[in-house]
Amino acid sequence: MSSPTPNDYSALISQASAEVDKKAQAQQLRESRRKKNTGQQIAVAVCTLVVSIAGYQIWSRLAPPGDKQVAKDLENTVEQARAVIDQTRKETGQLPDALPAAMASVVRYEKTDKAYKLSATVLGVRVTMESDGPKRTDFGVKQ
Amino acid sequence: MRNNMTVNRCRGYTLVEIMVALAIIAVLGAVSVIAYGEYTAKAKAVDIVTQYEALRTRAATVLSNRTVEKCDDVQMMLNGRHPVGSSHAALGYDFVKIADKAYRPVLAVCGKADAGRDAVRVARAAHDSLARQASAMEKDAVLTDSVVSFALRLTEGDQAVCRTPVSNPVSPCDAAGAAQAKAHKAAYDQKKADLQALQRAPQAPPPGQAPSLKQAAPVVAPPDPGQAPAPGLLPMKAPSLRQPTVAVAPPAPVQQRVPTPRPAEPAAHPAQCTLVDPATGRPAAFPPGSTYESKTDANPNPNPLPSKAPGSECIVCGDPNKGTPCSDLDLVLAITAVCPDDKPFCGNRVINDGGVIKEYRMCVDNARVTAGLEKNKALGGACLKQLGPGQPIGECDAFCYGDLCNSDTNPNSGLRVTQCQ
Repeated sequence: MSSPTPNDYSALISQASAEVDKKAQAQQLRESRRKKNTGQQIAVAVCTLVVSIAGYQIWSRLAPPGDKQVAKDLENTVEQARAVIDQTRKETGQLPDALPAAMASVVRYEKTDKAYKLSATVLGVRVTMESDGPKRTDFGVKQ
Repeated sequence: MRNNMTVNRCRGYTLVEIMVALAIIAVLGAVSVIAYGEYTAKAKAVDIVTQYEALRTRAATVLSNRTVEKCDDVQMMLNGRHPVGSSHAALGYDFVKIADKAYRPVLAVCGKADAGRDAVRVARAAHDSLARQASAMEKDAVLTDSVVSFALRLTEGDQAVCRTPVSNPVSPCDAAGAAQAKAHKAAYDQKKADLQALQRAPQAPPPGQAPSLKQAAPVVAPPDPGQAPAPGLLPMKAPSLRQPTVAVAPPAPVQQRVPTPRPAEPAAHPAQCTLVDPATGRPAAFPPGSTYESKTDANPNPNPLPSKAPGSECIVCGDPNKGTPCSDLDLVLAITAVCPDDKPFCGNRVINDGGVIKEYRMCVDNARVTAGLEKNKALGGACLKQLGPGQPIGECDAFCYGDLCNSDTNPNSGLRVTQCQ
């Protein structure tokens, strides 16, 4: 077996160098592909999000409000009615005979001597409140 | 190789491209749906706004400076022949208590999610539109996503309009509200049917009234001098004797018509105005809106009144046989009936009974009109003018032919041929 000549070393070095370059290029290519893929994924995600939001907006315009939303609205309305009653009681010392016409369509008002009861029902959700008690919300109520 | 790559790239769209296109479509769709929803809600709300404005005008007319005993009657007066209502949101009357035995009406508008999101949106749009009129909106409106409810003033200030609250108050938002509107319509139709039946029944003149016209009264207007107005004209509105009730215009006339200008001097009846049925040689059936020539000094030989003609649609109220005059409510409601062919004329009878003005409106036949005209001619003078409150006791008859021609106390059209061909 003969010892390697300087030419052999040179060829080896060239080959190694080529290998390194090739690997570096492949790495660079992979890197750029990964970046491109990430951008595409982000674009797809953004588009999906936009489509979802638009769909939700359309659906929420057409579908009836959910029970929680209705309950929240009715609680606010009943609170508003209670504020009106309290205000009248403060001013006159008596409970009002009826709620203001704007509210009377929505809130049922029953009064006894010193107590009253308010209730409002929409879409099967009923919020009831007595003058000396907390609010109560019932779901699935038939009107 | 390069060609192959180009071919491959042109084969379809990437996922990103498809998603971007979808996103654009979705955004445009959402914007369109929202904009369209708001647009339609505003358009539907116009119906409510229009009804409110018409009601407010009507309330100003029928309720000005008066207090009615029952709030139920106020409801009827405001409704007239067209009960308030909307297919988009619930409308109804409510009465605000302003003092003991003193109420004023308001229009309650309500949109609940039970009736669909559309109802809420329409009610909200109506609220937003009317909120600009600061004097229109009652306080404490409810504005949420699930329910919108507000009330609108129908009268100015705190004028008491009625004393007794409605017997069966219902909220327009309840199912009972819709039922009440139906009941109102049914009651109105029933009343109309009763009155029509009354008009068709043979009618004797009220005892002690027909033969004795105490006041002179040519309620017949002078005939038109040749100039023939368009057919179907309503007479000029005349002020009423009954204050303030009769001053109310009848609700929603069948058709808006132009008043006929009246000549100062009566002229001879032109020959070409004769409408003769060639088969019988008698005056032909006159189309609605025609009136008949009467005997006057200027026209001593008019055509005889036909015994039969198509009946006018007259305002009918009161029952002379029972001595029950038209009530305030009757006069405001102005219920009409299509008269039978043998009673084609509309007739108004006004009686001053010791300062109390009693009024009857009915369909009348040829014989009664002829007799009335003869008496009116013989008596001369302006009968109705002498029947005001405080005037001596008296009674007047006025007749006319044409749809709704007796909407005023004095029809003022007399019996003339207005359609001359």
